[in-house]
Amino acid sequence: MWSLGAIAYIQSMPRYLVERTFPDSLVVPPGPIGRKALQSIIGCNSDRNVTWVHSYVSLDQMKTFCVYDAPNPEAIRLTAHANGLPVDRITEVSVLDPYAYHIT
Amino acid sequence: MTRHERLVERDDHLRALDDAVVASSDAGTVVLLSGEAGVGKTSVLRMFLAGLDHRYRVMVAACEPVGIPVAFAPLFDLLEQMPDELRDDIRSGSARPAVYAGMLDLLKNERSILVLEDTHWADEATLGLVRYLGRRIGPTNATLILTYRSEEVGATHPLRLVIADLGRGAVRIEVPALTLAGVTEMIGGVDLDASTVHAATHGNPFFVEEIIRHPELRLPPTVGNAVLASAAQLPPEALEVMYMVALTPEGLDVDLLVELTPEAGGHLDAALQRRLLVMEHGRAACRHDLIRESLIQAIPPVLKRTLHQRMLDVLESRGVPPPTVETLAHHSVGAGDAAKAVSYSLRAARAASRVDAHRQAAFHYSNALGFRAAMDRDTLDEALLQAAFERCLINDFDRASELARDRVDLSKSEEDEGRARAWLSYFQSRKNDLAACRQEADRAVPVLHGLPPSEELALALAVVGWVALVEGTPEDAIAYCDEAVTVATAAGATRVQVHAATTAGLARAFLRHPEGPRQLEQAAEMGVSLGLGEFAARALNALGTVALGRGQLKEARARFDRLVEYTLEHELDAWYIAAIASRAWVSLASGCWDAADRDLEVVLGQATCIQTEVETLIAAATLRARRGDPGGEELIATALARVTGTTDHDALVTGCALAMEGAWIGSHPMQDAVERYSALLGSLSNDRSGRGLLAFWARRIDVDPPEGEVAGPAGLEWAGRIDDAAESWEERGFPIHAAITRAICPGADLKSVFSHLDRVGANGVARGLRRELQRRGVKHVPRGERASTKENPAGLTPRQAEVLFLITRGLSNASIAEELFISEKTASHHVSAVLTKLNVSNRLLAAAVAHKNGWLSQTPN
Repeated sequence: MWSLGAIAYIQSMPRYLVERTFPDSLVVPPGPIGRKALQSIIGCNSDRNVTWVHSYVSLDQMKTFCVYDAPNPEAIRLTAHANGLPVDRITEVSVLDPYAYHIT
Repeated sequence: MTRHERLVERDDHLRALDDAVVASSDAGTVVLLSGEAGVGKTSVLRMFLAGLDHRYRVMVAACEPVGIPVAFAPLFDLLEQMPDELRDDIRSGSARPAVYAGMLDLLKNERSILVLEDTHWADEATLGLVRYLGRRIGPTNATLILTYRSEEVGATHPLRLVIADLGRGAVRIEVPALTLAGVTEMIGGVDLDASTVHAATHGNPFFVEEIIRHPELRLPPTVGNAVLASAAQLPPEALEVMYMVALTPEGLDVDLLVELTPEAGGHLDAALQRRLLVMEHGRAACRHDLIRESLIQAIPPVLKRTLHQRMLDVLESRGVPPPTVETLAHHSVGAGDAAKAVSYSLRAARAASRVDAHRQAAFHYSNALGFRAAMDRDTLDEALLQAAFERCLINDFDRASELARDRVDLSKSEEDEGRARAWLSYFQSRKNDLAACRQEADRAVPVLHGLPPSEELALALAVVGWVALVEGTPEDAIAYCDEAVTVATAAGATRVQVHAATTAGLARAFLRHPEGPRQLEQAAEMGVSLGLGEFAARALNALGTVALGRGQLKEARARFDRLVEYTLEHELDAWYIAAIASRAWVSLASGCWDAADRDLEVVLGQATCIQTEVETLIAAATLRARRGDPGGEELIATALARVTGTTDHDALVTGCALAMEGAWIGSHPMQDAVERYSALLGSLSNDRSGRGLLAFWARRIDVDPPEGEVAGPAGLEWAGRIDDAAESWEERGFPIHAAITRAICPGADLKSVFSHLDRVGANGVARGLRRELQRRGVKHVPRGERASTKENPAGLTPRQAEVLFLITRGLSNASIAEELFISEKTASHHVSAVLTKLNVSNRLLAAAVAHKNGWLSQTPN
């Protein structure tokens, strides 16, 4: 695993925003086939300790913005490859909560 | 599993198995069936196999825990189903490639299903078989099903490398624990509280079943206790029978059991009735490995020794069927019978080593050395050396050095000590601990020089030569290694002859001496044909290294692929890791980044050789930086921290290149890169490939090139022949270098370069290139992807872009008007403006153009 001693600077699981482009539109079929497809992705993810938090999908379904927890970007790329998903860009992100500043 | 007509919450998994077997009729498939101990992998499998029709030819074999490692152990279950020749090959344990090929032939039969259970316990020969079959199963229509305990297969488990090798072709089925609903269903009418049972068992069906079977026991805190509580209700003699069965992982022959305990029959029945034991092929075995493990932990230590001793005595005196040496070793070690433990373990170790089962060999040597007080000096000395060698092969250089150091301490004369030090220096050199191995070799050489030519003298000289080469003084390396070859030849030590010739050949190749590659070819051929394993692998690796150093990527890949095959055939873990690490470099250079990812994943954190570890880290950091992925700076810093202070010339050069590339991209301090580069400049005079590598990056960060001739594409670029340089990179198969060079050609088509970099995901490279072009004062550098998404394609206004987006969704003018809160007339006006700007005659074509150019993702909401 990438998370072994060699890359020990990672203390806790970072969060990433993964941008993907689907030239032919991303289609998740409804019903059991879609469920199975998503479950198989989740299964593959768990091999490398990657958690798919959720995704935003553009209305034309050609672009997705996926939030992941993963040990490092390589784990995201490896699982994407195993799942046959494209990766355009990976950005490490943190949460900015607009309401955190409301407490006065 | 007669208790349940169906398995609770396992329908999906059964269906997945079904699907995989059906898919195999098109292309052979590997299925990985995993889950924690007791989760019911075997139950799922049994039920699935029972449901198959007769056309399938099913072979089921199980691996046993390490007590008695035997090469191809699980295949012994299948002997009856095998052709005679294959059976003999497996029994003799000698011809590993023949067994591989024979098993593949078996799978070529119509609709074969080979099941290997509990592969987390598989011996190396079997793991090798799995790898072999996994790579070749595609053209057959067989299914290979492997089960393993997911919790056992940690990062360093040998099975992990095998699974990684199978890649994405394999079907993965993970059997999870039961949900509360599942537990409730299993409990059925029994008077137990489902949520309490679920909490106590974590939904593990094996545990749930134990509790259901003995509700009177209440809830034991652990299920080990459930097993023991159930066993405790049997008479002590029956318990002893169960202990003996537990101590014999492959199952205990019933006749033997009767000989051990006259009343065994009745006790056995009691244990069978309580479903703690089962009978298979006339042998008693624990029904589940969890039962076996609980029992073993419960055996009082003194009783355990006594039972082992009794079994050993009976096995030795009976002799029918002849017990294997591994079984005798197992029981004599367990019995603490020192003399026998030494003798049987050494025999088992040698047998394992002969069939390249090096992990097992190391295991048996360890067992033997646990009784070293019972060995005479010569036996101990020999056992230590062999044990160290086996450790070295399985990538445990530290342990190898410890064992070799024991030999030094043990030596009685100066000569003995010199010989022991020579081997110690060898194992240290395998770890690439340069200072330590040179020190030992320097102490050994003067002593051994005074004696007749010996293998050890040749070895020590070869180690000194190796250090010289690694530290960038190839002329010295040649001198030492040529002498080593002469000494080794005189001493008839072919393995060291190959070793020294390899280093000499590498050094000559480094100096571009035409004799170098020839010498390497000869060394490799000699090593392979004489079956020298470790030393053959080293020569094969050197051939790949030379090709990689010369930028001949295709040849380098072929060489490393060959080495991977060779190391798999001979179970040379250490060289396997080195080969995969080198192959990752080839993939990195040739732009096959996904392949590089997969290879790096296999080796990162695995390499115990400092050189390989550093190589791997630098490759990983380079890859991350080129992609512009997060954490690039940190990884570069981590990799460079490992390089600082080394005397390994190659590590310094590649580390420097990483620092320069990082600085170019903006992910590393420029000052550090320049300092590293200046510090290296003096040592590049005879390193042609190092000069070529650094010259490229020197150009990028605008510093002077290294002194001396710069060959290759980087040389062309420095000479101002930029077009030729780009073409040369292209021809050699370095797409990233080619793209960068092409971008700085006068009048370059920057848009196409950047869209290429974007397509291959080289965001970091694109960033570096933009910085360089700006520095060079190039106007109109295409902006980054983020910026360009804001641009309107084909000069559409934001409103027109919205309209185009709605057109692509098939909306009519009226619907567009409704959507945008405008009049239909205005909408129609916008639509015709869009059609004009896109130069198309109708809205269908407009949608097609938008799709084709990928504008849709850029359309504002």
